Amino acid sequence: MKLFQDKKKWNSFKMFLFVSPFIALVMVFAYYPLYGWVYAFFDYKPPKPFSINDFVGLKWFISLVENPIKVNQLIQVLKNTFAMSGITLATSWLPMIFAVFMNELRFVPFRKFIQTVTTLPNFISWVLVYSVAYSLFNSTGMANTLLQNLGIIKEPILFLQSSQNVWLTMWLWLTWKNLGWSAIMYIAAISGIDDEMYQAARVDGASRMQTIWYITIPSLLPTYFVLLMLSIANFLSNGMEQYYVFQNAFNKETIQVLDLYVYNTAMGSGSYSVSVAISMLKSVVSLILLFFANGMSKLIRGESFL
Amino acid sequence: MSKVKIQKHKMHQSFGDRMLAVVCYIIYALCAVVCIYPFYYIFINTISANDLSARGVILFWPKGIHLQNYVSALRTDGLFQATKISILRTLIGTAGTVGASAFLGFMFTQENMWHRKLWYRLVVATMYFNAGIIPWYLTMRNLGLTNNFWGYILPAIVSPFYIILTKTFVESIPKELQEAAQIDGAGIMKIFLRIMLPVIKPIMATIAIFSAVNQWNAFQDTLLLVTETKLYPLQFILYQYLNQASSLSSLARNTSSTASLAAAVATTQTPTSVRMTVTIIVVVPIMLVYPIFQKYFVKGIMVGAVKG
Amino acid sequence: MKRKSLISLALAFFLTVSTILTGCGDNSAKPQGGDTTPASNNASAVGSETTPDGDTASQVSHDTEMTFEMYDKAANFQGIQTGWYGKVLKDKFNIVLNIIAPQVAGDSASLYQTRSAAGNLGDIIIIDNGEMQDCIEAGLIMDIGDIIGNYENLSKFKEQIDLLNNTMKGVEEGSTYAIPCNMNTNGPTAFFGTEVGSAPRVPWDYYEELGCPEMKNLDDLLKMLADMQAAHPTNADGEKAYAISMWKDWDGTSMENVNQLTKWYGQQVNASLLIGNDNSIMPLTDKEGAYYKMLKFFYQANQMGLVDPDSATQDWNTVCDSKMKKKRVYLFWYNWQNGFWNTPENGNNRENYMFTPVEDLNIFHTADSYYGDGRVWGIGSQVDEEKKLRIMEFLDWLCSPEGITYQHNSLEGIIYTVNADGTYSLTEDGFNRFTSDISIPEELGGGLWSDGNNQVNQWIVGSAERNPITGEFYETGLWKSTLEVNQTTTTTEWSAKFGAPNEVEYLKGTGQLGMVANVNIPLESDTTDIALIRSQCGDLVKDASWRMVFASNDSEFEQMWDDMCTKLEGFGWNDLLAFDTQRYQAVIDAREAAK
Repeated sequence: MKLFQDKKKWNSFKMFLFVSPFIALVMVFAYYPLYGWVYAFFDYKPPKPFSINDFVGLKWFISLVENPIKVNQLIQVLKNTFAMSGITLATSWLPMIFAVFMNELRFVPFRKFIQTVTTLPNFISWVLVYSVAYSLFNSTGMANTLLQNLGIIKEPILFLQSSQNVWLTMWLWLTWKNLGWSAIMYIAAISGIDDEMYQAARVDGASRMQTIWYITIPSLLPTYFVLLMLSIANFLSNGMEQYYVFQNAFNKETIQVLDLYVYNTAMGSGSYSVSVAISMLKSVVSLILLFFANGMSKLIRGESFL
Repeated sequence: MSKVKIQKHKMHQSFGDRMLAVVCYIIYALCAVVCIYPFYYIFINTISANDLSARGVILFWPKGIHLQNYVSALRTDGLFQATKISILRTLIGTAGTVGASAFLGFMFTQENMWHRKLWYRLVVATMYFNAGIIPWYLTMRNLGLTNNFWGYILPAIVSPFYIILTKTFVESIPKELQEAAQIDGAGIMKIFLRIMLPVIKPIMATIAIFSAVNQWNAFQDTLLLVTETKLYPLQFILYQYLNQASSLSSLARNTSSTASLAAAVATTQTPTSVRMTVTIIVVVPIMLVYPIFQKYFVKGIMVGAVKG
Repeated sequence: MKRKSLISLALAFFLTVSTILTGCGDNSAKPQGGDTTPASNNASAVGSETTPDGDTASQVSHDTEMTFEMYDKAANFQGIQTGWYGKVLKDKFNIVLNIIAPQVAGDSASLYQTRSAAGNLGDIIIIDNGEMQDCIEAGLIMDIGDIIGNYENLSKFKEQIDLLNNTMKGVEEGSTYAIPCNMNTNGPTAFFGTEVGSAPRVPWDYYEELGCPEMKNLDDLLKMLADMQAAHPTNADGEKAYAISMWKDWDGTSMENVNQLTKWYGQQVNASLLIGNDNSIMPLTDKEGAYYKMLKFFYQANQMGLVDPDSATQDWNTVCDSKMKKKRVYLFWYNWQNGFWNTPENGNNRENYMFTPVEDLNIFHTADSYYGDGRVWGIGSQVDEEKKLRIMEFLDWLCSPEGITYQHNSLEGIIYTVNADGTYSLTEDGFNRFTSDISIPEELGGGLWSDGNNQVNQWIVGSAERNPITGEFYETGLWKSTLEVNQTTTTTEWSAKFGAPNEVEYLKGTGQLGMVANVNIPLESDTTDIALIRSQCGDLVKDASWRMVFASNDSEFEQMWDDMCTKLEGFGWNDLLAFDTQRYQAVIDAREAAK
């Protein structure tokens, strides 16, 4: 008995040893540099060397909320962030459905073509996306010319300046860019589904929709849930580039998400300490959200994903 | 008996199913158009006369076709070396990342591992924090990874997101597969190499694509880590064209700059067509490579795996 | 078998960990000290270890090829200097320049922060005055005070160099760290250009068509522009044209387009202040100031339909390529914008853009940069003795007539030729060197001229300097031969109408040229607090300005301005004003002194 237990323990430790070089890499590249979070509590401005004298404690954190005007701005920024993340989360099932129905296309060359082509937008950088958007939607662009020729409008609509529906348009651009690319993961997962289940279903006389509903989707759900949980943890991060290229004086209020706010405020002015402080805050919140999501997963699905 | 049942199935392909199919084809075709058009737009603008392109009149057909944009971009110094670096980096980096992700994704499903949950959580948590560029840069410098090709590869090897993907995929594989092998006395490495790898090919292909694209497009790390021109990847060299605008603006604010200097920068200003050309040059190789991975998204790998 | 795999496994683990750990040298930055800079840099030492008994300026061997890493804030290009200029450097000095360009990064702050935190910004460094001050205090710059006197060409600028270094913090007597950019020996109030930086410029033929109306003030200007746009609503190709078209991507902490126009009324925007050519200081938010006035100008223009509706969403590239180069914009203000349309050919067709006088203008213009333009050269303190001497030799050559000629006039025979009287003329290729592809013969370096051009994009000696060999300026635009070629029907007609050879002479004649002496005072760089306030206030000013241009009526315009001022106070605007006023006071004082 003792021998067996030892062997089991031994095996378990042996498995750890196999992954240990990789853990070491993670330690070195991700955890070791964390000492740098200390800079958030000091007034560190390279090239001035770091010195204990510049200790400022929680100053940067407080400065973000020190008067009502700043608080209002921060609240607006958070509103924008929550809105964008919220919409994205609510529609996070789109890549999955996209992949599922794409799989239903029987004509294989067409399917492969669609699969390849829908990934193209992912390769266009946001800067270039804005160029394209500008040429389509400016006051003399295709959209306005078309609408004017059809007699629907008389004066051109300044789409890009509009502060209406900013969240919707940003979400549309985001979906356009990411949908095909994210679907790849689900396509891979679908190809991993045991074909026997499909055959059994066919034998039982299931229709296409029923097959999708009872076999395909449940098999994809684990992947979907994991990605959903990860997105919840990423709630505060929308990325900066997309919003940066589309921002202007007229839509700034509704387009400025947290990442862009941080960029405009801290990065732009080169205040390193402030950017570290904000980054630290975001990390802490994200980790809390991650474990919260894990807890939800345990409650709802009975298993944690971590 | 089964033949009859199959025939019955064919008749079950109802009107509803056919409608579904038609709707699907239409919707996907529309999606394709929406996705292709901007890319097509960018492409025809790169081969059209630059001043027409700048006016924004090239919408559906190229006009004044010329290849000068490509010629100008491709005659950049050091392009050949940069392409070599990019290819090397993509190949080696992808191989490393895929291998590590597959291995770690598999290992983390082994409930028996010593403190499995702890290590897994440690790895996943790294997706959500960032220590700041200065400590990261100093760490890389201390490790000797500045001006060093391995600085492109090593940090990317352990990638939590891909590990999660693989782990999820492996968890959907019937446990019997591994158990059978274990009963036969196979060690964990053998199980991984002989049994798992063939089965997780689709997810490995996915990770390969994601990782290859990341490596191919990466240049932020070059920017901070590398000043040795022999190590510049393709994106970095071409990216210079995209950023020439900022110097003109700061120049313009500097009131004592002489007119000719300002004019100099003003007229070598890169028009949008060059930006678009660069995009096409960088994207086309990846698009050519992508179909190679597509063949791994094939069903039926699992058939008979368990039964056998 | 099992034991072997175990041993190999353990070995692998320990090997990995140990390799990684041994890589961490003594310089691993820990939070408890100033160890972020390498041991060779002593943060408290202001000087460095140059030996006074070093070689004189001439004795440096060129046997080994040396690469200089140049951290260059002005450069537009990252990589090795190649082409004809690279060949010149290689032949003369056996050096190669590897240029590091934070501008190219798009995220210049990161590059600056990481490299300076690590203590090695570059072998040669070109940065702003304020940053240089920080770097000197941090010990990143080498003190060349003891040897700079050995270099003949650099010593011509001793006065300016010493002045700048003595006004920098942390510099002891006798130490020299920074060499200003763009100097000349003409004196602090000299100005020899033919154009001012910012003034109203419109197409000559359209202006003439309207009968060359006299304009007394901005209202007249607006009326003239309205008439011009009504007469020519499209360009020759039928595309819509506007009197005014703007762009958003050059905005710093206020709307850049407005900033340039404040110079029409004697004030220049500097951070949060308006500094006048009469040495006055007022806040940007003063309603009496030029910022408000010019913002209102744009607002009124928009009310009259003269402003391109895409202004708020387009970037420079779009405006430049699709509008300015196509005569779809009628009002220019930068002097170099002329270059987009003005050619000898267009000039002879009377189409060139020319300055149009408005009676109440008070042009703010700074003299040629005798003391330097606000950027400086420095040598990194981590450089060894041999490298330092070779860098000094190189820098000295950059100030020699030969070096200056290469930098501003390029290659003899290809870009310019020598006339019988010793002056220079631009060749045809020389005229077109920025706009077309000129091939350079292999033996001179090969490739295209523009690729081989000096990518450093900054000079120690500016082109306003006089060339002792020719007697003219280095600036090609001021050569007699060039001026002759640029005489076109347009300029002749213009001169006939306004009675002056060029706009500078005209403005001098009417007393509208408010010259400001050149001073080069290093300004303190922002503290972290101020930096934060500045970026928040800057965003607010920018956004409010754009919205005000497109306001729907006067009361909305006023309302937005007042709102902006209230909000600014909430962000700490007054602290910012105090900080800036104190900084710029030194500049004002120096300008007063130079009068």
